Amino acid sequence: MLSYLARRVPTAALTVLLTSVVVFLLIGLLPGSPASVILGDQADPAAVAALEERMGLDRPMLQQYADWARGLVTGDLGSSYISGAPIADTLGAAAGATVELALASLVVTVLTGAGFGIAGAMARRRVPQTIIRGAGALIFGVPEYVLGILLILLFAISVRLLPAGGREPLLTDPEIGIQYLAMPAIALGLHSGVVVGRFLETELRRQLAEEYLDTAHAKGVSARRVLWRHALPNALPPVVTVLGMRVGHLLGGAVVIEAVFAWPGLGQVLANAVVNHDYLIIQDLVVYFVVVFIAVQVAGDLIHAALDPRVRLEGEAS
Amino acid sequence: MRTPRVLRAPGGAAGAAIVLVLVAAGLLAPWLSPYAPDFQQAGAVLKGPSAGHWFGTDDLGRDVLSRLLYGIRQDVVIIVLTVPLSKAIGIAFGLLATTHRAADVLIQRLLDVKLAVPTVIMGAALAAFLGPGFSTVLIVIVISGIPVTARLTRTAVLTEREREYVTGARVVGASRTAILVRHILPNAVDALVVNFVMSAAGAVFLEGALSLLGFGIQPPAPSLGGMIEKGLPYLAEQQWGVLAPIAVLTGLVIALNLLGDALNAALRRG
Amino acid sequence: MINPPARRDVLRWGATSLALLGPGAAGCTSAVEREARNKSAAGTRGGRLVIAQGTDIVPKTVVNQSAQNATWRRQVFNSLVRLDRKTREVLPELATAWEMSEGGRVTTLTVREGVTWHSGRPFTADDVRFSVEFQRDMQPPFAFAWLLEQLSEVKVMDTGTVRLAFDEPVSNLFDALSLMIILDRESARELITGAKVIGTGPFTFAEYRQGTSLRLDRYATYWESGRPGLDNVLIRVITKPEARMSALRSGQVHLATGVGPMELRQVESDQKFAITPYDTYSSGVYLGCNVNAGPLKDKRVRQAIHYALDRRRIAAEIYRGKAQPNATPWSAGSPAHNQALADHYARDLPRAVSMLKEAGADGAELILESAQPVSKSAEIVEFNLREAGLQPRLRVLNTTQQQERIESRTFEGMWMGQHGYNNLSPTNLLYSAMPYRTTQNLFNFDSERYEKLAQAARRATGEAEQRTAYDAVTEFILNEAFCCDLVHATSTAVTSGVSGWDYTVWDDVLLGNSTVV
Repeated sequence: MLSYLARRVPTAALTVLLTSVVVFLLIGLLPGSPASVILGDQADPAAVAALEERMGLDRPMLQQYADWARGLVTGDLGSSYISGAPIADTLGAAAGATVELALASLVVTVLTGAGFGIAGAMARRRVPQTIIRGAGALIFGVPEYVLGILLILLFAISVRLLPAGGREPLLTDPEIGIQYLAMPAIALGLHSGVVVGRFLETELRRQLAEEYLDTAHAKGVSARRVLWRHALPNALPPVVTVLGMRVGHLLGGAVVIEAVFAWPGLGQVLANAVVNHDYLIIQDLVVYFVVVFIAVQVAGDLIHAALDPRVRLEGEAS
Repeated sequence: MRTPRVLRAPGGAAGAAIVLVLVAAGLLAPWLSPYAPDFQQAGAVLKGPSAGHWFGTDDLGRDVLSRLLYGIRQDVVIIVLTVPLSKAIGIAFGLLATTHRAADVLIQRLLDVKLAVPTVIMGAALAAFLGPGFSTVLIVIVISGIPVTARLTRTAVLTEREREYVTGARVVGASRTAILVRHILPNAVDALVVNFVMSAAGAVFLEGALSLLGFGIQPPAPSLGGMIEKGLPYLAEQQWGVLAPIAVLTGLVIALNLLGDALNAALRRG
Repeated sequence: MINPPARRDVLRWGATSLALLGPGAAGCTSAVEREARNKSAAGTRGGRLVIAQGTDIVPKTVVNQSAQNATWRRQVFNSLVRLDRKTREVLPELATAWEMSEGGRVTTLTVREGVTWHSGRPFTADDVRFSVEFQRDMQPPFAFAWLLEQLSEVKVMDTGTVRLAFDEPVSNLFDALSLMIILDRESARELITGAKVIGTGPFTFAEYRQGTSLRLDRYATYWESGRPGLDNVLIRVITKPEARMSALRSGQVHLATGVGPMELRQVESDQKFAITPYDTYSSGVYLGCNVNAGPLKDKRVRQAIHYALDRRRIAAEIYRGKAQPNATPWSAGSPAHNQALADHYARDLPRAVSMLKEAGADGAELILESAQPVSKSAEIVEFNLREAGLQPRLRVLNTTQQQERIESRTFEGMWMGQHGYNNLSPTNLLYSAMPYRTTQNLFNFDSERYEKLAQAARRATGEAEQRTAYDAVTEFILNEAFCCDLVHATSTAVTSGVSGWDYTVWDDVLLGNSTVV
């Protein structure tokens, strides 16, 4: 386990470092200095210079990067030069909403993944198999945002069952909060659920086909028992890794889903920052997204290793 | 003539048919559309389907069907412009990675960076710095397709290289490049063809997501994602303005996926 | 479409299954119709009022009138006086009495005793002096800085009296004083950067989250006894109109401002909601041309643009009839209003086309920049201009870009936005409203004659003289066409379970007397 960490952590750190450099260099893509982009083509050069100074763009590049990177690590992100509000506050406030949505959609993913995977593996006849596969393929083909819009059309407009958008924090008022959360969580989680389900099905089938299960079968153990006791525990570790990889997809999807459901999370902060040319917030957010994504992946790998003796041993050996 | 194996599978045939019909509709948009896509008809705002407007009108009195056809055209153009370029860059990266150890490490780390940033988030960042619009959409889609292609190429090359005929060629004294181009690449083509079709589906999906967020194709130019974004506030009044682009977009994505799956199956067997 | 029984069944099913899991979950509430629970009852003290607004909150621009800060500026800050919306009578606020002397040249104000700043410091006449001087000199300028600049003296007589002396008699001082908020001299500079906000109003500026929300807390030692009634106010920024309406419908929000005609239709038939169209008709949608930008230097091109626009269609289709087509900046309630002039730019496409040809500007590429709230009207304008043979390119600016462009007056071509000052004294607009004011207007239009006509309008007394002067300046504006209005729209608020709320002649929301039901 330790040697696994020793191998994985430096690579992850390098990726984060490289990302931060690339993200920092994005500012070079602007047709002029950020200040001149904000002020427009006809702006007075003195006004541009003043804004550049306010934004700290008159410092040497390397120092700008060092200051910024230090801020990212310490959480001292400074203030937005657009609104003047502390960036850490803005991100902190929205992070709660996004974490809530992400966790809820992860629950949806796990449930649908388990459902599709187990049902798919158990279905021996052609018709139910085709139905399960077809449903999976259909959901897989429908982008999350389309699913979200269809849900709104069905449950907020045709039948006024759930609110079309907005949020009430789940912890403040669970009863109301869950009604706001339901549709965005389903729209975001279902897609990944199908992917996880497909993977789980393959794993289960492989496990079921393995010889020792045949032996178990021969001993007179029921098919259901074989699945729950033998196949599932063995199929789980690789599925956990897939789940970890889906988190990146989930983060990207959350940005769009938040826009569809007016969910006041980090995705909305990002979208607003793009509209407002609030470059600093965008750079901070992208790096943090990457950190979370990589951390979740490493965690997924670790859980995989902990659950699966083969990987653990392989890790020790190498 | 024998029917290609891909089209003999029901999924492949259906996928190919849908893709063909939609691409034709998009290419023929200027002849099929009853109106110019940006024509605003005064007094006809958010009207439901009628003989004059099969899918009704949008919030500015524009014909939804005409905008839809031009929106499809836009997506076809995007696919044609981005996917080949994206694959070419990806293949080049993949090949480069197999030539030197140092190049491999560098490219792998760069791809790691790309893979660690969800595409939509990368799109948002690029839209902020490049400005939203058509060219940003193109760049995002091109970049998004690179890592998978590069890795596919790299793996394919490394596998093929160990095969007998390559070793044989090396013994004969063929140059490295010649071996790559003449012997190895043609054998990696199968995987890349499937990847190509899947990337087209990804392009459609991404255009929708980016335009929906307001980073994509800018109005009044029609695009499927842009139509969804503009139509959402009026979902309760004029559902066709959103349902039509949703149906086409989803249909296109699913059809391309089906086609990709069928290709995959056919090539593996063939 | 709406099917309440089915809905309830589903909820009951949900409730039953939840009840199996444990007690407490049985009384399931629908977010969609939550407010049905607490039907009309008398308002009680305390509680939280939640407001939803569609634009971001921008504390640093609080001194001027703006939709961004209209929900909170008058909760945190007081003005010296308030104007009655109907009679225009001057009502006391931080000033309890006022006396004019020397033919309207000098005004002596008595300030209220027992008022404290949110920092605890007592409020005195010297704070008034500071506020007046600060808002006279500050950058970006306060809307009535032009008036304050004419002050020859601001003198604190004693802690309770302040004397304002002008160079010449002023007629609209109370228009200015009713808009001007009184700022804390210890923190005013931080207010401008948005860092610290301290006032004397009924609520304190408690917690601001950019782009998300602002919480205001009851100021326990507010000077008006028994006020405010609410414990706190939460202002939420919900930019998506549909989310704003769903928050209102579900009872998450009590008051939504700036509700568009589209969304109004969803609540019009519902008794639970009170719809308040502001009687100020204060939103003039305008289109101006930077007179330094390419073909727009030519007056004929600017006139042609205005002939090409379909004002009726914008009023009917974008505002759904809740707006009046009007090319002048004066609303029907203004003493300067003249219907014939308001109709001056009735649509005449052939004329627009031929004028553009004459000016050699047909086919010209022009940039049309627009503020977010009027961007849909801008799409119609873009289409109209294309019909006239121009090649316009529409660019919707965000709040920040807009703010910066306005401060530096560097629009790249045409610009569409909204102005106020169209229903009080016309002088206010000619000197305060950024698109139209005679000096340093948004479009760099500078003319001695304009200045003279504005002065004549300011000095005119008696109805006949005023009529002539007002019409003369209006005709000049229409002819130069550096900026003309398209429509005058009313801003609308929708409330549910809110009593005692009000708004000022400047469309600022007042919540000091408000309670929630």
